[in-house]
Amino acid sequence: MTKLKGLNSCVEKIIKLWTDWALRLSLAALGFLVCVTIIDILSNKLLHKPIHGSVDIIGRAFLVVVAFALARTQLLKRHIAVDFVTLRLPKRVRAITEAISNLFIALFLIAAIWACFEYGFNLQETKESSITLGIPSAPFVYAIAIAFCPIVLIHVKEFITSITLAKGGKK
Amino acid sequence: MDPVTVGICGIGVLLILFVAGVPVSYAMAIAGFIGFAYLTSFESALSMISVELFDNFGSYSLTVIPTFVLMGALAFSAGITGRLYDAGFTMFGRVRGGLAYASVAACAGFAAICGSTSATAASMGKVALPEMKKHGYDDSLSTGCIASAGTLGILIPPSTIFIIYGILTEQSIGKLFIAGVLPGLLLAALFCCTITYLIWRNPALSPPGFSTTLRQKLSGLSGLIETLVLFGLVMGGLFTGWFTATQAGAAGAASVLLIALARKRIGWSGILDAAKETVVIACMVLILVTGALIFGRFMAVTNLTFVLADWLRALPIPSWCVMGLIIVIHFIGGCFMDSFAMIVLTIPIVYPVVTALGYDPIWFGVLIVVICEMGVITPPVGLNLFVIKGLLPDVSIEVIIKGVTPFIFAIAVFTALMMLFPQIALFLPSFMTY
Repeated sequence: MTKLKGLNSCVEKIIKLWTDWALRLSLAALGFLVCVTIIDILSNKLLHKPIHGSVDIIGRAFLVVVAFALARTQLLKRHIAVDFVTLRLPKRVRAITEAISNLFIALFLIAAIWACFEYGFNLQETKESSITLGIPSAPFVYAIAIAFCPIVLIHVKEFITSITLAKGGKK
Repeated sequence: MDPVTVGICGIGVLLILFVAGVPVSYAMAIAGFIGFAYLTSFESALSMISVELFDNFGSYSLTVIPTFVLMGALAFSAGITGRLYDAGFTMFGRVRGGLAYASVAACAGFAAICGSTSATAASMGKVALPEMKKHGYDDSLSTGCIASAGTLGILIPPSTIFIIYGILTEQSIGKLFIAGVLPGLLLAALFCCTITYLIWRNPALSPPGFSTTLRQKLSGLSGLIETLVLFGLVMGGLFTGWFTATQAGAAGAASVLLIALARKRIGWSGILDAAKETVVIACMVLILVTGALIFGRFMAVTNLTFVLADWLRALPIPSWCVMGLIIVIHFIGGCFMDSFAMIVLTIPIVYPVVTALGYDPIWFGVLIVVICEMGVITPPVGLNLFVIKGLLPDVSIEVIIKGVTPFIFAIAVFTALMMLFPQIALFLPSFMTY
């Protein structure tokens, strides 16, 4: 039990470090996205010269916004869940249910990470890029895969917590 | 097992995951992934999820989400509701129940710049509830009208749910936004009629009105100008095709920021809070949409929706009965599930049926959003009920539920009107040329 708690606090530190760093990147990408859109509007409407490849730039910036906000969204538990049933369950049953849920999600995310890395390798080999500006696609697919890694850690941590609770320990 | 049976089993697995408390987005993605892998192969299912993730995360058309969310979040941080409420107060202050009418009018105004129902209810509640309490309004009337009028946030554009519906059904988000204008105004009018009826039946619910000076009136009405300018810029730009949806959102967000900075209503921390809220909501919505699209891929290979559509068409009942059934299912589901979740869960299944029955997708979008929004003010998971309860901890949830009940009937009347006169939603989009 002590080993599990030690592992949990170590995982917690890694997650916090990543979340803070990733949030900054996500916020910067959001600011960039809005600025490019506004500049594109102004230069298109006033000078009749839209930014070349603005769709590519905005699309890629959006990917960075979302991928690097994943950890914070997960930590704040902002994903919508139907919890009125689980809230009525006895503590131990609830903990077991949560452990199974977290395990399922972690396994799915591992599959998603694997799929993204594989897809990224394929895109890298075929030198796939965006239509107008030719921005390479592979690094962005890798970014999604990397951004999902701390989410797996969060679910593993939640899994450990739920197991500890189910065994009768304290959270 | 044949694909249709696998599809039915997939829906069963999805419901089990919901009940087990798995977030809706992950539940849909997991059920869709497993089902797709079963019907095709594990490799093609892996390939499908990676393509869906990359395509959706980097999709230009989905960038409409953060821009409009940012616009609403900045308006919330800048406290634009206070000025809107002052405008409503000077317009309706003289009549009995004036503050309740003012709250509905201000909610409709705030809805025109914010696409979130809970943000509308929370920000208006913060301003209006203490005022109504101070003037002796009955708690059930004050809480009921604000919780209900908060639902206007999702109907009057910009609306986050319309964006999701538009993405899932490949309908024009601009058309959906414009389609929400008249129904939103009609619903606001019906809420005002409900307040009038409640006060006529029991005048003790609100004190008599009080007059305001001309100076107060003029100063109050100035609060409307910025909202009208913002609404005109965003919706006017969309209506005329001057802006794409993403550009309209970004222009709206930049304008709200400029107005708030000019009025010194927002600082660096306010901007940062709004941006943090935006990235989190955008991420939550995008994961939800991606989950729904993965589940939608699975539904497509099962052929279940088309079999269901053919079966319903062959039934010896009129199509409006099927629509009635769809409405009842959404109303019941909305009582237990968040409206976002309800829309992403049901649309991949219901939408092909609705179009096969010959209903207009834009009209259906407006109707279904309203039905799901009824869930926001109905127990057990009515979000707005708890938002208001959070603002007034001394008022019991039973009083708030009693307060919203007459407004639920108003939404039911609205639904009947929408069924009888689809033009309410389709009139304005008919003028759009793109």
